[in-house]
Amino acid sequence: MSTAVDHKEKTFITDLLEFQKDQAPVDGYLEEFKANAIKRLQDIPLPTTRDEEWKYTNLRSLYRENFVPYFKVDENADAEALTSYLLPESEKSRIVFINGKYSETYSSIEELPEGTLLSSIENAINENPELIKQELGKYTRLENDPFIPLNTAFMENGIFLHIPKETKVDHPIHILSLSTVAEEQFLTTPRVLIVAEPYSKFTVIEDYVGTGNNVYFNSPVTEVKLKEGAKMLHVRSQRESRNAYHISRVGVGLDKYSNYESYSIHLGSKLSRSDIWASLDDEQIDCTLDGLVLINGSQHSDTHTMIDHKKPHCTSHQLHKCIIDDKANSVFNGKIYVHKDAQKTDSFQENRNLLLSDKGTVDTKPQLEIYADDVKCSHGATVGQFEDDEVFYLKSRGLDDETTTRLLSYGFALEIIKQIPVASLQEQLSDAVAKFTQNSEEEVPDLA
Amino acid sequence: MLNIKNLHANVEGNKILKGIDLEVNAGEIHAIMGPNGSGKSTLAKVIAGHPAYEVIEGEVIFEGQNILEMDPEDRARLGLFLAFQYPVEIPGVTNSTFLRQAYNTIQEAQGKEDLDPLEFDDYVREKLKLVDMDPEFLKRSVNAGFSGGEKKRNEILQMAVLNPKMSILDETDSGLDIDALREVADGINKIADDEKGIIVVTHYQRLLNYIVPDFVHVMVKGRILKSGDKDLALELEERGYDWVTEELHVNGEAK
Repeated sequence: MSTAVDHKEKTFITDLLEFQKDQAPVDGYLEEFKANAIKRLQDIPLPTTRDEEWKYTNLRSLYRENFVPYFKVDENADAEALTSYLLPESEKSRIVFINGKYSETYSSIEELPEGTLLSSIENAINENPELIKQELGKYTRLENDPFIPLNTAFMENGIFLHIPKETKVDHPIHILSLSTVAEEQFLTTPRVLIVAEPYSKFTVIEDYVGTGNNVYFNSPVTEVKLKEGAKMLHVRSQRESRNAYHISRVGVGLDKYSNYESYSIHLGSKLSRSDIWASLDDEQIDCTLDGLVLINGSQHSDTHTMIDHKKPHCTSHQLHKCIIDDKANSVFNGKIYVHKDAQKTDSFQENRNLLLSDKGTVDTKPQLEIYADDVKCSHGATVGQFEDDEVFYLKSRGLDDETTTRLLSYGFALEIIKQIPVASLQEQLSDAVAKFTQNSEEEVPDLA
Repeated sequence: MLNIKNLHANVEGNKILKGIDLEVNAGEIHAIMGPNGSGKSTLAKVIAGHPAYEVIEGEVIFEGQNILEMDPEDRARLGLFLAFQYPVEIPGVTNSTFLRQAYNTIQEAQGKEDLDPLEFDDYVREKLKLVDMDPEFLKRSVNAGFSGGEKKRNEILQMAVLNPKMSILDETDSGLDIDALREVADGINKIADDEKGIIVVTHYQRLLNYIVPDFVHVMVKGRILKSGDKDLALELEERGYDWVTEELHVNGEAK
């Protein structure tokens, strides 16, 4: 890790920390937790492209921006823009944040099963301090990362979701973080902690939406703990403003027989970076980390993942698909680590990139580190255009190059979106894909 | 309608077609038979314009134009259709969207009326009956997860919908059980009429029990070595392909 940080980079954090003093104070454990984060933040140098983990993502432009924390911004809720992102399936299982602030008006959590807790971390720690102390900050394992402590330093109204034992939550829990046009450039730090007790089953949708084209910086952190046999479907949709910065961190701790299925969709942001770290801590765990990135113009999107197989008889699946057009850059660095004890691991990883222009770039690094000797692991990456046979098939039906590209791109992207079992979100996202692939409104293909 | 003259074509530098001559008129059904590797599927793809094949010599005249310089979509818009031996899967795009886009594109190119989604739905449902396909197929992704037989049926559905003047059916019988074969052949017979030309490319005679050809051509090593009527197909079924080559050796025509 480099320690050479120029003046600009230093001010980026120090300026922000100046504001931190104005934040509503917390006491007890959280005060200590945040103070530690602030201290770490002062010690950790900001990453540069000299750091291996940031080789292809240059944050210089981020460091040059000036941001104020979200609590300095006047709320400017655009109700109309907001309603188009609400999901009917989550009518009464929804938490809404507008420009980083909890919105009581739009949130509704009436339809959760008995015993299910969906509250702020501050409230939760008063009611069940031991549980929060035990779980908060335990699953984001990135070392020397400044963005986790940055999130913690500004954490306020973070979400705590606690699903009781053997409880099935029928409605998907929608956490909508909306950023609207504001006078100032702001920083938001959404925080989510999810603890699922044994054999619970539920769906969480984290949805990051920008309604305008303004510059802001969203740096969310999500922590997930699935206990024995718990099953979670986790959708993360990133549709930030085209001028926003998005740096997200997800840490997942998995116990025996648990099943974690994650779909991450990245459509927005000028620069987005997403890190997911899944730790398979016991046997017979099933983990899926699929992703879809659609970028054009001068967008840059970077996904880093770690699937850490520690024990025998676990399976993992990762299909990460990207469509890159214009001058956009896509980065994928996916690591699968199979420990010596993790015999009979069954792991599949593939990064498929569809490069639609000459000026777009793809940097991909699927990594497999295996220390066990009886495993079934495959990994690979492809970068390319469409297959000759696919193109020929469509053209032989009279379709021109443009329509052929459009239909094939749409199909390529929809393979991931189709996996999301929430119809209204699937529709919103497939409309976004159709728009990306330049379908006119009328010719949006039916969802297959 | 379709006139192929002295057609030579390569793939990756290997000569596959070594001088094909073939004329197909409106209302005629031609069968091209031959052993594996004879070049019959290559001929089908070259006519439709597959980019992997390089035409070295000769011409393909369709509706009065040499189509060899045309893109595949322009050939299709002129009324040429290839039913694929291995139809491509397009996950995410529904059959109905795909069919309607293709249909409207070709209609527009031919100066005919296109159909809106509702009109098209009525139109396509009539065509589904020809190949005995469930309307549920329209909602599914093009060929994705289809069985071999469903894919072949889907090709014939496309043929019915696009209503081409000239159709080339590349091994449409392969992978079909006897019931499916009969149904697919039945559909093709219903589509065929006096104004259409059809080329059936097949390895086996069994399809020709149901689609009776006017002409049968035997292709071996990139050439048409023998032509005849439907009885030739029966003879091939009985005697295999070797005698054709041997007969020509005796006559000193083949090398």
